[in-house]
Amino acid sequence: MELTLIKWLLAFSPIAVVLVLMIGYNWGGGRAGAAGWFTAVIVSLAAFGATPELLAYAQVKGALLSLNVLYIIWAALLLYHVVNETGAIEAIGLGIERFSADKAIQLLIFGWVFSSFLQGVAGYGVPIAVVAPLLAGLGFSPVVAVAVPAIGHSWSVTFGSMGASFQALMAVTGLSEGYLAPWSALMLGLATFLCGLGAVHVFGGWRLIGHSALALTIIGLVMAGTQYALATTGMWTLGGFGASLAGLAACLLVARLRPYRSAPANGPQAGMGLGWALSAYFILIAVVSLGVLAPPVKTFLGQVKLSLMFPEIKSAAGWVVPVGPGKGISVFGHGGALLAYASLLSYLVYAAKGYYRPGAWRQIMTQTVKSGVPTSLGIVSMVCFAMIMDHCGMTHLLAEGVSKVFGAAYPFFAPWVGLLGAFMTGSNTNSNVVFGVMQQQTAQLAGLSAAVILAAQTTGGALGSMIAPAKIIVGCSTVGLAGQEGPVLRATILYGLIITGLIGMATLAATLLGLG
Amino acid sequence: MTTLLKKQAGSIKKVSLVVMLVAPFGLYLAAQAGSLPLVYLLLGVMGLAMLANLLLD
Repeated sequence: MELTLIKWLLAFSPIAVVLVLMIGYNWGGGRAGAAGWFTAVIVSLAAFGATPELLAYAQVKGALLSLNVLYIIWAALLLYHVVNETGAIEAIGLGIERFSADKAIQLLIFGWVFSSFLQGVAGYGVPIAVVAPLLAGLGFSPVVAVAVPAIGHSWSVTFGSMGASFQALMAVTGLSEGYLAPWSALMLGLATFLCGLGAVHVFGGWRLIGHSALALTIIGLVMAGTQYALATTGMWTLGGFGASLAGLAACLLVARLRPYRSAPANGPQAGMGLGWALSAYFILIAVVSLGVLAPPVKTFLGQVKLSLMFPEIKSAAGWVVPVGPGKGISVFGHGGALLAYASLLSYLVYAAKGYYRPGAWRQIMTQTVKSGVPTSLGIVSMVCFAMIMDHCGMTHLLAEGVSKVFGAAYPFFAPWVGLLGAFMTGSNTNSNVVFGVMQQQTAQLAGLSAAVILAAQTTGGALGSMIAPAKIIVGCSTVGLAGQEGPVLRATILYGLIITGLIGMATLAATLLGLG
Repeated sequence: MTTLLKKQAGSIKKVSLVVMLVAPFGLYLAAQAGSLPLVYLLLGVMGLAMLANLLLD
């Protein structure tokens, strides 16, 4: 397929439509994704030789990819609501508040570690929505209360939400976790420290960074190290959650060190002990460890797999997608299934302890569906149009153009593409779906390591969370700043740009050194 | 009519999500069987589900 500016612009048009509608007109992901889908269908039929058969197979592959991601998202939401309905999230927050009265430690615990923990178990705006009012209650200004968790939790987005964004990256690129996880965990590890620094700096400047340096180093090493260990040993679904849980344990230790030792803050007592509040997450660790690390259990659960075989698909313009299987789903061994088992067990434990009010199950299901449908619509429509673009050679053409324009400097821009995707869609997962294949193909055309470039893509996508209007709006609404998102966005955008720039430099350095 | 649609927006979105996830498997069967009219029909159904998404805020 010949690369011309007109063709490149046409190939870019579905993405441009989504960008304009989401940024310019504040449309949600579902609506904008549908508009992108129609654009992709029309452009692919008119200019890229799509046939009805090609569109049909692209939609089937899109549905399979979507189901892989939605399985995790829905189960993660279910677990979150099973826990939240007991009041456990509030109890965890109150329990943490009693760790230390040192402002820097409180800021790190809530804005960096606890917000990441919430990202690990829920995501979708929950970290900012829960932590912002807690920080405001501790006396931080509303702008700081929203900006700190927005910046602080971003590093944990890819491996948070039970790894939904990482699952999406694997699904669209067809690359294995063994290939993608090490570099992704490494770059997100670097982002861990940078997000911590940003969260402290936005409140107290360099003076507070000096005071917090020891805590930042210890907690950052624990979280980045745990995330790397989990991601590279097949337990990537627990990457963000496990890392932040280890970070909470490290906070306990750090709060007792001389520079931070002070009388614990006096606050209201929770109706539930911290141990019971966290019990659902201990169950989750046990279930996922069994399902991933115990070979007999893994084999037993992996027996039923939903998969389809696809023939060679050829567009009228000559673009060929080779014969091969679609993305398979292990019905009982999928990360989403493990989460569902943990949700059910946790519900039974909490119910046996009497933590639920009558009718709680109905409330849990209602809340899960209410939060799951809009997210799912956005993901399905975007995955489906991304598949149409892929099957007509539009994504390849985009990659070819980008590779020619940026040349050897391309690695520096890779995280910026991820950041843009997350900014426009409010989601690291959607960013990976829309841009993952383009980044992969650009890397291949430029002779660069796809592992490094895709790590930069997903890291940029994760960092996009701190500037995504959709998430900032949620946070502002919880601290009485509804309609005044501007000051918060101005505070977070600076850190988003600086941290993404540093990740871009690290990516460029890694490719120049021939790593990956 | 508009008010009625707005009232039912939540339900319509749930149905459209189910259609968007189920219709592709019908498309797979239709494409495998080489039935072009059925492929057109199911692509139309997908299009309607997407249209519902696009029109309902």
